[in-house]
Amino acid sequence: MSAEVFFTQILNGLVSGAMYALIGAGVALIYGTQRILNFAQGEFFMLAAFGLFLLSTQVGLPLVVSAVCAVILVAAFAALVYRAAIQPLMNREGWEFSTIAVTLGIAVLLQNVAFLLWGEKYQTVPYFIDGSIAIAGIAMPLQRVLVFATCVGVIVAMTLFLKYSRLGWAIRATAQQPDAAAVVGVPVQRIRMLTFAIGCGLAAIAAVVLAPIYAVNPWIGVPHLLKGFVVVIMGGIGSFPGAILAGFVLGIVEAIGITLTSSEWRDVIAFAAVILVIWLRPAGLLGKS
Amino acid sequence: MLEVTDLDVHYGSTRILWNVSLRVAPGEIAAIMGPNGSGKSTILKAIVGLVKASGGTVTLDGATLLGVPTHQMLARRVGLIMERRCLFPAMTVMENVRMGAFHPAAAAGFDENLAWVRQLFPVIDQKAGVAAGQLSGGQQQMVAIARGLMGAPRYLMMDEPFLGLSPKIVDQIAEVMAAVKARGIAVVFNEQNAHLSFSLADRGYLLESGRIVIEGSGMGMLENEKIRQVYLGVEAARAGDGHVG
Ligand SMILES: Nc1ncnc2c1ncn2[C@@H]1O[C@H](COP(=O)(O)OP(=O)(O)O)[C@@H](O)[C@H]1O
Ligand SMILES: [Mg+2]
Repeated sequence: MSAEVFFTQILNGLVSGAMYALIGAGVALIYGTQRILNFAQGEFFMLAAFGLFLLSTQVGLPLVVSAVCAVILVAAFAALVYRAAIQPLMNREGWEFSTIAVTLGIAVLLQNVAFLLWGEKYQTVPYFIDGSIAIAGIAMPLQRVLVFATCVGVIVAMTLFLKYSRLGWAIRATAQQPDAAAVVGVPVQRIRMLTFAIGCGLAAIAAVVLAPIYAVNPWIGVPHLLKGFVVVIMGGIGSFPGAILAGFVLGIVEAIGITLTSSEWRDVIAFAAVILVIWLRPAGLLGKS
Repeated sequence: MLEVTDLDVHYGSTRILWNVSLRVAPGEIAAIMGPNGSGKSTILKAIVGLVKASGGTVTLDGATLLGVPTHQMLARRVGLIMERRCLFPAMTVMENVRMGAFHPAAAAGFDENLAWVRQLFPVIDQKAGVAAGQLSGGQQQMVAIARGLMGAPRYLMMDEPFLGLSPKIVDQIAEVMAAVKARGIAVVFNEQNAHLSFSLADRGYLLESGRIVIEGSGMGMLENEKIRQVYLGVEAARAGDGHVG
């Protein structure tokens, strides 16, 4: 592999890594704070992509406005789903299993609703920015640069939000000791709903910047959910920084791996990487054993 | 005055508390003493709404507390320091302490309270940036009390604040309790050791199997015949294990 090919693949790896990191961060946020494995995460991704498609190409709103609206609508919808379908389960025995069953059910339902409403055709969304720039002599489409910048920007903002904002403190306290959080004045139920909405909102943000690259259909969420889970397992289950690190590691390993083999091997490489990590470090990259 | 009258609690179909009545006035310390599993924690949790009461009343200066959500207890100036500290383990000591004043009702007294707890507990400054989960049991209890005081409660409940601590730390925490009382804050605490409970308390309750079986002044409880025989007698035989007076 020439140095140039290698460098190109590193750049590609960083872009997909940023996207995996963001999707994984959403999964890790929800799992890390409330132990819910959200199997519908991919469908919130899908809905945001369709939201962008409908608002921009059907309604005719400007792309960026459509993207922001799609993310907000998906997060609000996720809050509603949490309140209606998940929160009632949380105080019952066996909630770990019933939330899996319910989120899986929601995923299938949303896929089918999307199929009925919008069909199975791939819908395309225009690029936010056309053209490309040269990074160390390698041409990089600006849309990919935008994906990278958005994902990294959102991850940084999210980290600062959790560390320094009043709501971020409430989210962390609720995750660590819900009863003690309630006693000091945190409305625990509302914070859990909000955390779920934010976790799904992170998937929605990834979706709107990726939609122009991947095109949109009812099933696009599935592989992203799988990658999200891979990243979370690799990073250390429930670890927010772990998911981010693992996202980048996975992106780069995949990019280099497919240059050495071929692009059909992408998922094989991803799952081999996760198995290798688990084998070497059972708790994941940043997990506590 | 915080008054609990005929409180009943069930976990599922199992009855845990039977007509529990107790009260505490501002500037008073009340102790609920009872063996492990007698229902002490359940009383405090029911008062702040962490478990649901199935009967009875809880009132604060005449207004009911039952039905007030737990996260609004500090609006009524009622605080709880839970059993086994229950700090936020991955947050730093200072974050834990500040988190104690999360409720808007605690905002007004924030600076004054922070200065006070730092003076009461030097460990807050010594370990400010350390994750709370890394501290020793005694240090954790101090941070837990500091977090509780940051909520600016007028009624502070402490669930087994002495559990598992060395005699020296027990003494320190007893002194803090006296300082809290001197501020006019009412304290209700749970404890399994009769001597420790009733020598600190103005008012004492003995809880057995979910029922208050004896109550009286702290002094009266120490002199009670049954308590002397059953609880202090047993302890006297367990020669010299760190009591405070
Ligand atoms: N969440 C719960 N579900 C069912 N039973 C419980 C629960 N919590 C406590 N208990 C039972 O209630 C009784 C009183 O417990 P608790 O109030 O914790 O006692 P104490 O604080 O005096 O040790 C015990 O028998 C305990 O087993
Ligand atoms: Mg207890």
